[in-house]
Amino acid sequence: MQRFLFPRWTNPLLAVVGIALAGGGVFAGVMGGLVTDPQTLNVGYMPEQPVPFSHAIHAGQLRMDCRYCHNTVYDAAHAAVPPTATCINCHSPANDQGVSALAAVKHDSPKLAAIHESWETGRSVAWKRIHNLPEYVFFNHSAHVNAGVGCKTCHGRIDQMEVVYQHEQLSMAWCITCHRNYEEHLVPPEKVTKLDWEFASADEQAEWAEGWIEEQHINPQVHCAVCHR
Amino acid sequence: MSTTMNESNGMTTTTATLSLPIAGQSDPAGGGCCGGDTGGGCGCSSGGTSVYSGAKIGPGGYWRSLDEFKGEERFTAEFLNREFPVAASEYPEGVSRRRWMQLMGASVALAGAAGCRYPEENILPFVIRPEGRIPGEPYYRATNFELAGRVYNLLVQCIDGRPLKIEPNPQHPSGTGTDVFSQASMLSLYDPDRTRGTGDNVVLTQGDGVRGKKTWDDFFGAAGEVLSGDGSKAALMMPPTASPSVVRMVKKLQNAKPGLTLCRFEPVEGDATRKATADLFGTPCSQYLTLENAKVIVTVQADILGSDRGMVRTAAGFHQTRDPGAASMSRLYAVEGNYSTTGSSADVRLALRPSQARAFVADLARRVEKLRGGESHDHGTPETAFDEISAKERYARFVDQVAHDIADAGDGAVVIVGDALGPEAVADGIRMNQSLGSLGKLQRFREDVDAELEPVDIGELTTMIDAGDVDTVIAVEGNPLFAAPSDLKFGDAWGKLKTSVYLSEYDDETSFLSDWSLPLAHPLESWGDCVSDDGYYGVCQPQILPLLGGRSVGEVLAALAGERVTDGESIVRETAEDMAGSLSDRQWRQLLHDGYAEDMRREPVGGAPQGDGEDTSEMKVVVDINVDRSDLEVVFVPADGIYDGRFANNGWLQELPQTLTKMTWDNAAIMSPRTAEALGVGHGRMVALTYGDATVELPVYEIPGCAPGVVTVPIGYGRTRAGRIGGLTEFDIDPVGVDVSPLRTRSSMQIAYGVRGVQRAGDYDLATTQNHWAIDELGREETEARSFTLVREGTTALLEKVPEFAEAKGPHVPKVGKTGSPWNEVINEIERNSEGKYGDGGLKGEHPEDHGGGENAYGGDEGLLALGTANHQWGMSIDLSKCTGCNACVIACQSENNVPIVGREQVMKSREMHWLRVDRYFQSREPKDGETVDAGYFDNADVVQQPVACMHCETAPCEQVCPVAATVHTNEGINAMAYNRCIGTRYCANNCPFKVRRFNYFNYNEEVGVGYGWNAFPGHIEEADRKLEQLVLNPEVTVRGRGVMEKCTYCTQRVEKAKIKARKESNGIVPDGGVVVACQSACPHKAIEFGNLFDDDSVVSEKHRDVRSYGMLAQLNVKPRTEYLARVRNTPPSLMTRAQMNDLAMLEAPHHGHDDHGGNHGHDNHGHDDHHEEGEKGHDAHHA
Repeated sequence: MQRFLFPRWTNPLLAVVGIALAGGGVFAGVMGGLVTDPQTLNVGYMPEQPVPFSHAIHAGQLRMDCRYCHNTVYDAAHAAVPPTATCINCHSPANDQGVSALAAVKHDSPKLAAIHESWETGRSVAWKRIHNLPEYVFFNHSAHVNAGVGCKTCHGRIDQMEVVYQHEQLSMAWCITCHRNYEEHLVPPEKVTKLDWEFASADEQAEWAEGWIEEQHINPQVHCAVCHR
Repeated sequence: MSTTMNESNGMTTTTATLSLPIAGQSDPAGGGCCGGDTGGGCGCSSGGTSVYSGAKIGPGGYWRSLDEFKGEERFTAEFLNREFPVAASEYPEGVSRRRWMQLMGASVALAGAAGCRYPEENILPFVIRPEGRIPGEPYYRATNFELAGRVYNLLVQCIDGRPLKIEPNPQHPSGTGTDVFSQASMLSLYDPDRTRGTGDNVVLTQGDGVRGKKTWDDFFGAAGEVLSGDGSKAALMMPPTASPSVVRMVKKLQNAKPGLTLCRFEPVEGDATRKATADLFGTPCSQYLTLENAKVIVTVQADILGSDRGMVRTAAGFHQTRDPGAASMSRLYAVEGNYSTTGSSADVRLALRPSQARAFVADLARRVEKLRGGESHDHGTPETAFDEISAKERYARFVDQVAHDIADAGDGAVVIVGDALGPEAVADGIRMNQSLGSLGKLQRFREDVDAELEPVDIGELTTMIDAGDVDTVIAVEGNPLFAAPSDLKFGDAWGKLKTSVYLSEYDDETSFLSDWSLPLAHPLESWGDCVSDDGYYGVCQPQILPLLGGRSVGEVLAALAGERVTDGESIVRETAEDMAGSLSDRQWRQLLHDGYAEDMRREPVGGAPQGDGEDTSEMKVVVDINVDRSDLEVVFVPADGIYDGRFANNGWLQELPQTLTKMTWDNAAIMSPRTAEALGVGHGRMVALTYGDATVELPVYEIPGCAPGVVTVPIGYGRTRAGRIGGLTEFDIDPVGVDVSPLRTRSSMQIAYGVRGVQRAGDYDLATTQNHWAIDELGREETEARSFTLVREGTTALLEKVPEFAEAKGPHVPKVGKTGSPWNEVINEIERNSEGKYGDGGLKGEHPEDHGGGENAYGGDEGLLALGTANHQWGMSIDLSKCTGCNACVIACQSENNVPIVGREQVMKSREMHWLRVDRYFQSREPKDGETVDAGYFDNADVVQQPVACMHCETAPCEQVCPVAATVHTNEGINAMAYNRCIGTRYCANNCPFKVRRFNYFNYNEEVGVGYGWNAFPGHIEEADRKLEQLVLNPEVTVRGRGVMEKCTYCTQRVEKAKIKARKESNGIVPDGGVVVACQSACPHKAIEFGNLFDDDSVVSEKHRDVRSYGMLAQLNVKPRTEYLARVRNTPPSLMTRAQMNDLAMLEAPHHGHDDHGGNHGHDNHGHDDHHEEGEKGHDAHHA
């Protein structure tokens, strides 16, 4: 039986195929390596929220403490997103007579519509989760803030963010880096929520941290069970 | 052949003590039992009924099953030498596959869709957050409820409004503990099979063959018509209750309907105590035992530590008397026909037919009377052991010794007679305690909460229905159509009713044939109250609103009585106010918060019993070891898991290995080999039991130690409408086990006498875990000669003579080097820090002198444990003297750690997932010289229970073989599992000497909405058939998927929680008692301790220093973090078994100091090398 042979004119195409394969490999490698990198994938994630709440105004300009809203942060794994009632403390809607039950800051702002609707209907506001860890990771806020890890270590300068975005990778490698070199990230626990507060110098911080670590037996661990249970 | 075998046995006999070279074991051709002349294919595994001649016993005379004892091929080949049984890695097929899929759907599971980065997730905060609520954090609420006749005082752990875990209420004065039923009630709460109808239409009716859907209002409307007038043709049928509110509502209903008949139905225990106390004290009472100061406890056919309903309270007192060494250690004698949990915990147990039990009490009373009258006689110390003499001699010696002990103990002695023996026998026991002075001290009685009600029994009710005097019955729980005495033909009577109403949690056999089937609320979702055994009033507060539209008994009765107030809280509060006089809101909240109030208590009944007892002076015990196959005594016991069948649809309880038999998903006729031989049956064969006209066929389960002629049968199996777990014939789901209710008539609800047993053709594969995870002690010629027993036990006499007996009974493991290992371990070199120390951190660095040297292996700054800079080193101690094998820990672990159930077929393939198992070993004496082992050999056998979970070895063999480092140590000494890393090679399970690792062969949680990989999307959860069940899953613990290995983690979630709490509240150091792991908190006997080994003052450190403490398989140098405290029996010298006597005579204290050993073995003074030599000689001769 006669063998099939590619005609001679296809020979130049061989080079094209070769280049395509090699280039494709490089492309796939680059895409795979970079796109799935937590730096690419996670940092800067900034979904649109149902209410255009500005941390820059509240936490920055008005200098409200983080714990006014996220009040379980020292007690619980979750730094709870505040109930609608917390917003209503300042932004209570006006009734038919235009009278507000509580303080009525910007009570007629259309941006607060979702809050007021929630207050009236009793349905939760569906905030979009930004800092999201896999379900097999058991992160605990209270363990960190009580040890003196400031909010900004993981969340960045929230007080300067008009719209909150993810500031750090929140990958396992990132966690472990900090668990291994934790000394420099510690601040006195009463300063944890003071995002603009800093030690005067690194030496001062180091000196303070040494005493604090010894007093509190601060001993971050890097074994599996500390986060995976 | 028999000569050969006798020689084979003879070779072992002289070694009778610690180290038994296992017969024929080192003979590679012998198949483990026979001599070389018969070659490998001998008859020992032929499975006949009396082939015991291949008998061989594990070191120390311990064995798990008759298969092992007989050296059956199927034990060694299928269980011992394999990690998992044959075919353990095949997919289920055919019918079993279908059944399995159903079970998987019914099993447990957690929500959670993750995977890719941006499946957008919402956070839905409260609109108004309840005060004090912290989202995602657990909180605890006190509650009290009644389940299976037992009253529990509990704390319920809830997260985000969802009850998740049952814990004992540590402040409650009734003592703290739980049991399997209370632990497993969590799964029942989320059982979708409880559901009836949709929306408000939750009431089922059975009209014209169509099960229409109605609402509660429809029912109350209809009930108003049916119950019009004085209700003279109506009856209310109820189980006994400890709830004052229910009793109050019953009285209201009786006031409103004066003609109403009240019927009491209790299918399990009978009312013997109630009847006896009504005669003796003038009012019906419940018994409770305060054994804190007991010296001698004699139980007669009473399972006070097992199935009796006062078990939790009894345990709270009993465990305090079980500290060996203390002068106060009690002595527990058990006399019983079956083998019960109490029997296995007893210091001395006597197997006696129930028919002789009352005569035993009489005999005992006469002897005690004589001794107290000043009679004395000389005994001397007997030469023969308790297990070497005939049954008659055994009885005589036993009763004499018990009488002496009782006479000596005076009011520290108590005799407890079981309900099954009837009111007269119970009264005999009470009178005896009265004369001893322990009545009101050890044995107490509390007036029944429902004492004032004057019910008829179910027999009278049937008669009334048949006569047409009653045409309407409102039944509350109890499933009478399944459980009523069979001779009543209650089902027929039920059919004659004009209106039948049934209120229960499940749509069961009775509801199916009732006109109205009403959903009852689960105790975790309803208001109620109850009085605990020792009289404390407690409120049952709902942890969640009724999930499936149910209502509580009190609410339904109130509505039927036409009460104005019908909501549960108001009813209960009114009752509480009646009891307390008045309750302010503050006091009411305090009552709810604490779960009890000191001043709201019913005092025990005082005073002496009235009247004279029946004259029992003529009663004589007849000890007869011959089995008459037409005169068997059948003892009906509630199943360890499913009780009388009411928990049949609870997968945790169905799959719970029962305490003595280790059976799951099955019941059987449990009998001793002697009985089986007489009936011509064997283990796994079928037997037909005939009582009256009724015949029931059951598989046979042989265990040693049951009295000859006694057959034990767990009740509650064979349900046809239990649900998708327990059987639902309507949907082709076969019943689980065999229904034995035909044998139970009015006269034989607890024990049937004169039953005929006939062998039947056929085999049955029992789903038993007794051979699973058998730890391999075979195959090590070098070590087999030294006894290394997994369980170690001794007697109080031995403890006194050789305090280090636990160490002496193990192999000698010389400890050299800085880390107490036989050699310098590589890990130590690796961890050596720059200063040449083995790490010094945390506590140790601060005061190394506290940890220095001595017995504490964790001491010094060079101990292996001082890895890194951990603040804590976790360890566990399990006291075998206290453990009774009640299984509360097993269910608690399952509940805490999201352990799935796998179903009967999978259990038979050894795929059960329990992280914590309780190993049960029988111990019998070793055969005497030339003695043929026959069925009678098993008339007497002791039992030791040993909970086994991951030992958290410091040099864990599993970690060394994991190719992906999925199982690694934490620097606090926990052998952790990183599930996400696991690729399922199962190497770790192969290399685990304790066989504690469990592998997920399937996605056991899929149908409840837990997806993995592809299936991990939110829609999958919505599609799940049984998503209600996923609510039972603990959100603090990862739910494992297919192909992942798992095992005990020391409840690492609780450990981390405690560390975070310590960080929050103090300086990051967890105080002793700061971590209470799930098994520890559940244990009613307080046998388990957990804590920080760095803390020399912690309870667990103290226990590890105890002279009885030993590590299992320590000779492998695995350094287990879980250690056992050897069991000590308080056996009097005259009742010692051969093994105990030999221990006492021959065991010597191990010598310490490394010089003697030269860092190697060589323990020539241990007394068993000689035996080994003899054994070798015998072996050689045998081969010649």
